[in-house]
Amino acid sequence: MRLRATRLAAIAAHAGAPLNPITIWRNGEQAVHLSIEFGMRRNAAVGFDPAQCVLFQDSAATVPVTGTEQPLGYLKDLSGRGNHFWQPSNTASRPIIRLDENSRHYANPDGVDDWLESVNTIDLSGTDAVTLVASMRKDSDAAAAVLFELSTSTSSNSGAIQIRAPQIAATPNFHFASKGTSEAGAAAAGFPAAYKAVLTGIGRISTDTAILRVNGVQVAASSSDQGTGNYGNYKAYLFRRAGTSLPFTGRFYGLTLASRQLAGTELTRLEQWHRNMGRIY
Amino acid sequence: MWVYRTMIVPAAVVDQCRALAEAISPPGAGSSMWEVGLSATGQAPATHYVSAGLIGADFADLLDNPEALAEVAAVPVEQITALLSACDVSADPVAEALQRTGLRLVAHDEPI
Repeated sequence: MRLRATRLAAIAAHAGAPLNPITIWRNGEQAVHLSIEFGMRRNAAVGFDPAQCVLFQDSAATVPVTGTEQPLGYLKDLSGRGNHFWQPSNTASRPIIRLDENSRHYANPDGVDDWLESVNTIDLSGTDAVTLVASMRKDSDAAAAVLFELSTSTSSNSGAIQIRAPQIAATPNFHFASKGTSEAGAAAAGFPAAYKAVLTGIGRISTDTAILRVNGVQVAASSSDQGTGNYGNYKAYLFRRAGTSLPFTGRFYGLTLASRQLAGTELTRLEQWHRNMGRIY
Repeated sequence: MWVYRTMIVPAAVVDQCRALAEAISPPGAGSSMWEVGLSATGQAPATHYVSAGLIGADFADLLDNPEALAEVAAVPVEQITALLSACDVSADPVAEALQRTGLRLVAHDEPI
């Protein structure tokens, strides 16, 4: 299987133009098996075309994000699988779109009540392998924080995955967990907040694989038993567990979830794209 | 169109505040507010609740104008005035508002 990388060029700022994710992975190829793809980068090539806008201020996806200091109420998935995310409850719980020191846009969950969830369930029941890559910066190690979680709780649901930043309170680490009927976690310390990174979690239930990579380097792995089965068909959550606890604070540049185990050039290309998106060098 | 507000409400009036926010907000914009608990120690039970983030400018204007809020919500102005006076609504970033009020997020002890 060969991934075709298409890079959208011409990134520039146009006042009033919508902010959109861009992608190197064009999902016309089903072999890619991408389940989610997000990014916060401005795509001037799209221009002001509501049909192509993928970041919206409102939960109905009718008001495009056109600049900074606007809420992110709806985030469209570019994978082609319709795994869109939204903030269904209230405006104050929508992360704010901001611009960093390198002119990169990011969503800024506040670590209090901001979160997004998938509009529908994300069906990973046909696979027992995943690769999750996220470009982000965590801004606090004070309390455990969920960056991404499939299902309302990895600890209480089979076939779940999660990335925490950090895993537990007052600990400068990152953590990736994969679970069939048993949970295995890979955690690595030495990353005190504020820490900007590309996080990669690779999970495979049948081979008891749980790997955590930070900025393209493997920093932790677990071969603990993950039990049996495939991943589940659950809603997924960004920035809070089930939208109710373990709030994440920091910067979110983008996320890609592939429903298979990436390696080699595929993986390094994807990680490099995320590094570029957040200028994480 | 959007303004930032940190809104801290006492636990004793949180149900009233939730109902009021939902009643005066467009669908999908005012529900499930004030679900994050606060206390002076960071331990349960929560004595206050917080919502923080961007809200509509029209919503923020109502919070600054008890008479207008009372009219929109069809609630006596005395009741609205008492409710707002019990709350801490500011443009302060949430961390600053918590420091100023001496409140902390109630910790959740959750399994991995």
